[in-house]
Amino acid sequence: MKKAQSLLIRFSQVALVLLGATFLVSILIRQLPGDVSLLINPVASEAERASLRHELGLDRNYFSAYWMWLSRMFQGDFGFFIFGGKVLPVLKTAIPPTLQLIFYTQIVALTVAVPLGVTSAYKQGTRFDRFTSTTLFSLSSIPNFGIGLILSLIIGVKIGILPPSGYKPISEGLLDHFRLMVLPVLTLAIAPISTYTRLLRAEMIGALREDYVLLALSKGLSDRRILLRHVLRPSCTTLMTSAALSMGGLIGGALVIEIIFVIPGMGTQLAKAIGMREFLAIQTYVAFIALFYITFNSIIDFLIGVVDPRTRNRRA
Amino acid sequence: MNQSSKGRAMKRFGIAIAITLGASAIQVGTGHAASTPAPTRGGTLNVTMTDYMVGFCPNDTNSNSALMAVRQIGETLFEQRADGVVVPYLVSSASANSDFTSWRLVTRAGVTFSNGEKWNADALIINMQSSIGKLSGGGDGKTDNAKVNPAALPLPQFHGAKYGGLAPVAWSNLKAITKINETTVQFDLKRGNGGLKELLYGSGRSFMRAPAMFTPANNPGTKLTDINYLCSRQMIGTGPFKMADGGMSADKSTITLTKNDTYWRKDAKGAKLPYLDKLVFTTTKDAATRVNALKAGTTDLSWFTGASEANAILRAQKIKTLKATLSDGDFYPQLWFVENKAPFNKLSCRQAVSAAIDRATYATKRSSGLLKPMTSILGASNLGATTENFITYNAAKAAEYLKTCVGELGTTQLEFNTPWDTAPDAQKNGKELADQLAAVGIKMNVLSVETGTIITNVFASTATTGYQAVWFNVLEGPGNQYNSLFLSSTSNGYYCKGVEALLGEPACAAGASPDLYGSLNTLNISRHTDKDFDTLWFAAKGLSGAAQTAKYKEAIARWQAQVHSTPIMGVQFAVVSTSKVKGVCELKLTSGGTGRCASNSGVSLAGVYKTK
Repeated sequence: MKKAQSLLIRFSQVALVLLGATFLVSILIRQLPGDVSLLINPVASEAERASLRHELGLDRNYFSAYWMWLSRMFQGDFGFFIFGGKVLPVLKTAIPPTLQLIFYTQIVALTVAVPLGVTSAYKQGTRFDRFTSTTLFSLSSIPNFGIGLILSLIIGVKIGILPPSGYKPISEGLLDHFRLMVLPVLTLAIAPISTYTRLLRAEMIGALREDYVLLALSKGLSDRRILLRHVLRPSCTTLMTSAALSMGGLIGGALVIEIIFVIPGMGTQLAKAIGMREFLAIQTYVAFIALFYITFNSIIDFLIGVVDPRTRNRRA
Repeated sequence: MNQSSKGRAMKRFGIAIAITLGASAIQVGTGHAASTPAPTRGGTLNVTMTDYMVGFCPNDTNSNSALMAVRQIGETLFEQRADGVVVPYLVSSASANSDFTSWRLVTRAGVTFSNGEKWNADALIINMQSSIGKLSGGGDGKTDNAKVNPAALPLPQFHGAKYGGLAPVAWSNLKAITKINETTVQFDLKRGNGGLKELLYGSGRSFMRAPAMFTPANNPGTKLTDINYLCSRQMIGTGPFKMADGGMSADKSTITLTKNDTYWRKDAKGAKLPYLDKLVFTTTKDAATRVNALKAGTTDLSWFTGASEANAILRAQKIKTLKATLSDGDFYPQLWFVENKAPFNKLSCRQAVSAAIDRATYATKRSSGLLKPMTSILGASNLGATTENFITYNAAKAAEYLKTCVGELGTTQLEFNTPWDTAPDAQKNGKELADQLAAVGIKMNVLSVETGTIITNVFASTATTGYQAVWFNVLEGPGNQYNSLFLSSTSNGYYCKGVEALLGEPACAAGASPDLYGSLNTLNISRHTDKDFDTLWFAAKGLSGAAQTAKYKEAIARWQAQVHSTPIMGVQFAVVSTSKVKGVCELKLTSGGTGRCASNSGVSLAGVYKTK
C-alpha cells in the first residue's frame, strides 16, 4: 500500500515537473521578438497574418495556447514545423541516437571512473593519485567541443583509424555504428569520468576512515574485500546521484557534440529548431528532454534504494 | 671485323632497336594515358552542406549550400556563362521587341521532367503562374486558385505560404503571359526590361518544376499552415538527378538523389549523363568537421562560404589530397543603413560610417587575406561597378562627417544597433567592424540574432525594421536584375500603394500616387526614397549594351553618393572535393562555352564522376 502511495506521489511529481517545464518554455518562446507569421508569409496582408496567428494559436493567452498544445499532445499530435513537416517523424529518428550517445557515455564513464576512483582512494597521496587527479582535472577543464574537434582531427583525420564524423543506426551494421560512436562518446565521457572519479575518491577516503572499516581490518579481512564490499558500496550512492544529475549536462553536452560529429539526434534538432524559431517543435523537444531527465532520475532513485537499504527504508 | 665482334655489333644494334621500340611503345602508352580517361560510371557521391533544406515550393527559400542539392534536380530557363552572359538553357531561344516590353521564349525540344511530363509552353506557364501567385495558366487565376487552395482567397495572387512568396514582388512588372504555340510563350511587360533573361535566371534560383507539383491532388491543403503539399517534401525537375517522395529525411538534414535515366543532356562524346548513380547530401554545420570528413575520405565533396569559413577554405587548400574550387568574389554583403529613422536619416551619419571602415584591414583579419576589399557597392565584374562617389577609408574624413552627423542629430555620439548572426564567426565579424568604428568614435552595438529573425524584420512589410542598420548579403553577380529587387525603392518602377495594386493591370500606372510606398518597398532594405536613383536604375534596365552599362554606373554612383549602403569585402564560395572526384566544372554549357563554375549554390554534378 505504502509502495503504491509512494509510486503515486512519484508519478505526480513527474507530471508536475513536466507540466511546469513545458509551460515555462511556452511562455519563454512567446517572448522571442518578431512575428512568426511574417516568417511564413513575408508579404501577407494584416488580415492574412491575423488568420495565420490564429491558426498557430499566437492570438491566444499563455494558458489557452499551452492548453491547445497540451491537448494536441495527448491526442498524439506532436505538432508541426512552421516550414513544413510534422514533429513526430523527426522525434522518432532523433531520440535513438541521443539515447545511445548518453547511454554509451554513462557506461564508458562509469567503467573508467569506478576503478580509477577506487585505486586513487586506496593509493591516496601517491604519484598515481596525483597524476590521475591532475590529468582528469586538466581534461575536464577543456570544453567538450574542443576535445571533440581535437579527437576528430587526431584520431579521425591524422591517424585515420576511426571516422571523424557521421552516424549510422545499428540496423545498418553494428560495427559501423560503434566505430562512428567511439569519438563522440569519448568526447562526452571525459567530463563525467573526471567528476565521478574525484567524487568516488573523496567518498571512499571518507568511508575508509569510518569505524566499521577499522573493525573489518581488525577482523583480518583483505584490503580488496574491504574496498569493494564495505567501502565502495556505500560510496556509490553519491556516485549514482551524480550520474543521474549529470544526465541534464549530458543532454546539453550532446547538443554540441551531435553537431560536431554530425549525429542527427535531439541536440541537433533542438539547435536547428531554436535557430529557425520553430516554437511548437521546441516545446515538444523540451517536453521530451524533461521526460528523459525525470525518468533517468527516477530510475537512479530506485537503484540507490537497491544499493543502499538505508535510503530504501527512509523512503518507505 | 670478325664474327664475334660482328655478332656483338648486331647484338648492340638489336638492343638499340629494342630500346627504341620499347621507348616508342612507352611513349605511345604514356600519350594514351595522358589523354582524358573515360569517366567512371556509377557510385555514390557523399556531399556535405552547411544549410538545412527547407522544401521545394517556390516560396521555400533554400540557402546557398542547400540550393546545391536543389540544382541537381531542377534546372533554370537560362544559365550563366563564366563571362557573366546569360544564355538559353531550358529554353532554346529568347527574343524581344525593340523596347524590350515584349519577349518570346521557345522551350527546348526533347526535354522531359523526371516523372515523364513534357517540358513545353504549358509547363513554363504554370511555373510562371505559380511564381506570380496565380497557380494555373490559361484561365481565371482566382478560379484555379480556389480549386487548389481556397484559403488563398480573397487575395489569390498574394498567397505566399507555398506559392510565390516574395516572387510576386519580383514579377510585378509582368503584364501578361501568353501561350503562342506548343513551345512558345510571350511575356508582356509594363516597363521595358532588357535583362528579362537574367531575371528569369534568378541568380540560379528560378527552377522549373513539373506541372504535377502544382496539381490540386498534390496540394490538398486548405490553410496556410497545411503541410501536405507535395512540394514541401519532393522536387520534380528536368535535372540530372531525381528525388523520390521520401528522399528527404524527416529532419531535412539528409537528401538522397538518384540518377535521372531520362536526362536530356549528353557529355562531349555524346554519352548519357549523369555518370554518378546516387548523391547523398548531408547537413554538417561545422566547417572544421567538413574539412576533417573530406580529409578522412568519409565525404567526397563539400561546400564552404568565405564570409565566415575562410580559414577552413585556406586549410583545405593546403591539403594535397583535396581540391578547392572557388567562385568569383562576386557576392557583395553590405551594411544597409535604415533611412526612415535616426540616425541614418542623415546623410552625414552614413558617410561617417562608410569612411570609418578600414576594409583592407578587415579583409586581412577576418578572411586571412582570402577575400578582397570592395571599392564599389558592386564588385568589379558587375555592370554597374564604379568607384565614383564611393567613400573609402579615411579616418580624418570620418571624423569630419561624424562632427556634422552629431550636430545634425543634436546628440553627442553616433550610436546604432545592428544584428549579426549568432554564429561565433559572424559575431567576430561584427566585433571587428564595431572596433573599427569605435576607433573614430562611432558606437555600433552588435546584436546576436538568428538570421531567420533578421530576415523577418528586414522584410517586414511595415516601414520600420527595428534595426538602425542591417548587415545583409543579397547583392551578387555580374548582372543587376536580381540586385534590382533590393536596390530600387519600387520593384517595377512605379510608385503605387497596397498589395492589390501590385499585380493590378494598369492600376499602378493609372491611379498611382507617386509619393506613397506600400508593399512595393518590401524588399527595399534601406527603406530609401531616392527617386533619382530609381529613375536612373529603371532607365538602365530598359537599355542594352554599352548604354546600359553607362546608365547602371551612373545609378550606382548616385547610390554611393547617397550611401544607402556600404560594403566591406566581396565574398567567395568554395567547393572542396577529394582527389577521387573528377570532372568538376568540366561539362560545357548546351549553348556553348563554359558555365559559371562554383557559385553560392555550389556546382552542378551532372558531369562529375568518382574514381575508385
